[in-house]
Amino acid sequence: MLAPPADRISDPALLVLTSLAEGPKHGYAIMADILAFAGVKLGPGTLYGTIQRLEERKLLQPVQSDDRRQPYELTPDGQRHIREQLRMLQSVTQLGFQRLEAL
Amino acid sequence: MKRLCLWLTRLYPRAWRARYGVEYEELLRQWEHAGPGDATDMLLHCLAVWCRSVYAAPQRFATMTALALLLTGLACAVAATQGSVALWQSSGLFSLLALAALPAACAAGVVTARRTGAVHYGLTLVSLSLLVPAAALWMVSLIQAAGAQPLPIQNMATPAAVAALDQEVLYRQMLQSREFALHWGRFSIWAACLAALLSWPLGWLCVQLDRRWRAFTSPAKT
Repeated sequence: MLAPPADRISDPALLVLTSLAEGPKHGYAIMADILAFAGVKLGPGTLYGTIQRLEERKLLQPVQSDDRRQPYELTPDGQRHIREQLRMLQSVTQLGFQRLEAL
Repeated sequence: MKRLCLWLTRLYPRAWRARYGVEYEELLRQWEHAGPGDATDMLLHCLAVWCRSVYAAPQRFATMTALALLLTGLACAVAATQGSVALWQSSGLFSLLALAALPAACAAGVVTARRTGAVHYGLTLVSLSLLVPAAALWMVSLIQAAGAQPLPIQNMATPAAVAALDQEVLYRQMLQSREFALHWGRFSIWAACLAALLSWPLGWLCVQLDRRWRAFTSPAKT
């Protein structure tokens, strides 16, 4: 059973970029993937608002496709960005655990 | 719920639909978990997209939006202040119209200010300070006067009649104060609406003068 979304990371941009780190995906696949790995149900508006912002920041780009469902993939900048974000989160997590153990 | 969500896609701006519409609809057709939360999410996103499109729109569109808002404000102000006292008392519609006039005019100023980057249009917000106390005074006077009923004076010789006369005097005084509050309340609302509506052309004038002054004082490039 998944925990309520409030207990989980809910930054939509981070979730979308993490989902696309696996490879190109279209909107529905991104939503389903995020629901599976993070337990967060992104609304369609939130998802496309995030996709639009990330596309404007050139962190992801549409992939050529004949399908009505438009797949997206990470750009090199997007890969760099998500790597930095995850590294920062990792360091924060490690620090948090260290401090908790010292209590 | 899925059908509602699909219908909601029609509310998005045309330019956004041209870019994302097909894939967005396809996503909604596939999405099995559509619920009221998704519809709300779409509505909020739609609103955000519209706001962004207004801010990012060409100058002409922003000006047209500002003018439309100004006209709405003016229409509301006129409709609100033309109601008779009886209508003011019996219906909350006119007070709602009066209160709608200023936000519309303020929104016009804000849209133009965001688009042009000129703070002069922010003057519209100043008039809000005039409206709030005026509306509060007016509402309080109406509430106080609502319970007052004319008192029948039947026998002037009895002490009860004298007491009734006193109450009648008090009642008349209350009526006068109510009329006074109504008069000044309406005057203040008019003044606030007028200030808000005038601030837009005033802002435009300030921007033009500012540009001329800069052009006049800055040395010509050779």
